[in-house]
Amino acid sequence: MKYLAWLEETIGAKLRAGGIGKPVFVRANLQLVADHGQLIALAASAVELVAKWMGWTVRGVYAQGGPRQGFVSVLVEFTAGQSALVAAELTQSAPPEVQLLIVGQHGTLRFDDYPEPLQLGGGAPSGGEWAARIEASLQSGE
Amino acid sequence: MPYGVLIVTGGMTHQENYALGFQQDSRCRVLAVTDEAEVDERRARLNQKLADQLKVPYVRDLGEALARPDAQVVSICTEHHRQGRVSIRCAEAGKHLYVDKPLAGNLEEARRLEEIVKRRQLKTQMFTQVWTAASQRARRLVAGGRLGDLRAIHCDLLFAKGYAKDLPLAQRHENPRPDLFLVPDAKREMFNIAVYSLALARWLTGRRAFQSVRAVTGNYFLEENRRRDFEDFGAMAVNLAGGVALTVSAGRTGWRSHGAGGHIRTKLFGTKGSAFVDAYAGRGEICADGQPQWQSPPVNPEDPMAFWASSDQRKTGGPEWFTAAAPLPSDQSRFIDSLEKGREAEVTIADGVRVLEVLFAAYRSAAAGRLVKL
Repeated sequence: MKYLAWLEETIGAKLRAGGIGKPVFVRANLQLVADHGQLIALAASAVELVAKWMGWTVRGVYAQGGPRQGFVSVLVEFTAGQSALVAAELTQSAPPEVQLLIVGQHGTLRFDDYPEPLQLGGGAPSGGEWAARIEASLQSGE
Repeated sequence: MPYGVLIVTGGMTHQENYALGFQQDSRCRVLAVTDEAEVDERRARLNQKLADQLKVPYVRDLGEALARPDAQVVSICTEHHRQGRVSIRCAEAGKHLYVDKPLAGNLEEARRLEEIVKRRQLKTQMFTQVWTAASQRARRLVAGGRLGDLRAIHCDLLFAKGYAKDLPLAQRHENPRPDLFLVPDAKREMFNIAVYSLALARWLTGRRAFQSVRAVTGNYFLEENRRRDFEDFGAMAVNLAGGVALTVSAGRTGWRSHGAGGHIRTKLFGTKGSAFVDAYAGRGEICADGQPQWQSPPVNPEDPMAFWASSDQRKTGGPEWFTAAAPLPSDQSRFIDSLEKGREAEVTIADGVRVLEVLFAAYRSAAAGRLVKL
């Protein structure tokens, strides 16, 4: 999904500028897909994205919801003690939207967006390595 | 005949607001400030200070104050580790209780208090944010049906206070059974702040039961909290009955982490739609030349009017926000409403106990690094 790559770079550049200090928490609500089948992949891509912003390795994930419920929410823990709450949610016939809040040690970065479908482009989110971990957490409830 | 109100504990607590709320309600008469007789010199001094401000006596012995037949209501706002036992004394004296959040410093006292209140049929209310304009809006959105059945609630409550430092990043080793939450220079922030979001979720969902919690705590910002080994941040994933997911971030993130009081945001996701409620979406904003922190781009002599894209058009700094809201009835007046109408308050001591159960489970979860069932 082109939008996620753009988001990673745009927000990443702001974080690298250092204004908010080291990021310690990310809240990401991503309502970007209309297909239940893409929710886990979107959540997994978001975990990967957040890990890049944090600059640390993910220590563990705990997931709630599931494709049938129309949302996948993930609590992410990082090895240096930071955390994130990432939610991938169905658009439900509404335009896509994003709410992002990054908390740094010296401030916060807030980004609210209503991307056009053309900005999303580039196919379904890739999911990456975190999809299996999220799926396992959803199935085990742990 | 006004309700006689006793104020338990004085300055440097939220009682500074609560007592005023009662005093400003014409249906109430604040009788005295009081507390446990054995409080230390600092607490006694601060109690006396609030009593002086309210122009009421400071009765040093709580038992003596509770014996007053004209006292029907007690507003309690002690340090959390004392609040359970103090509230129990007030309930046993047959007084209606208005209590600060979280309810108590341990579950045993909180559950005992719940039992006494029920047996004596007392009216109670725990202070929360459910009567704020943002919470009321969230409730209307849920009740209005446009969202369908609520599936997920995501709450951020990050107070922009405190002098943030570059604390070294490290995993926090949480105490599974904390018993101290507030001292003059530090506060357990997940305990004190996540309580609002948990109470909000319970209220929004019609008191759905909390079933399990996974939590992470951290020390990122405040040296004072780190010295005391108190967390200044917490993130939680909570499961409610009926498959409703609640996620919460709560903390104190430094003075300049928000243009006003802090990030207070709630995302509601239902089977038919979603909504985002930002408590500071309603605000004033001034963009003007006279603001020192809000700077124009430098003048380009080739393009003095900045008509073209090659001129630097980036403004730096930020405009000035101001927050102003038309007054709403105070939380204390809402409690008096419930007394007058003989109905249960929106958030009672029983609700406070359920919320406290989650908070303590969250500490166990953060300590063990796993989901904790309630």
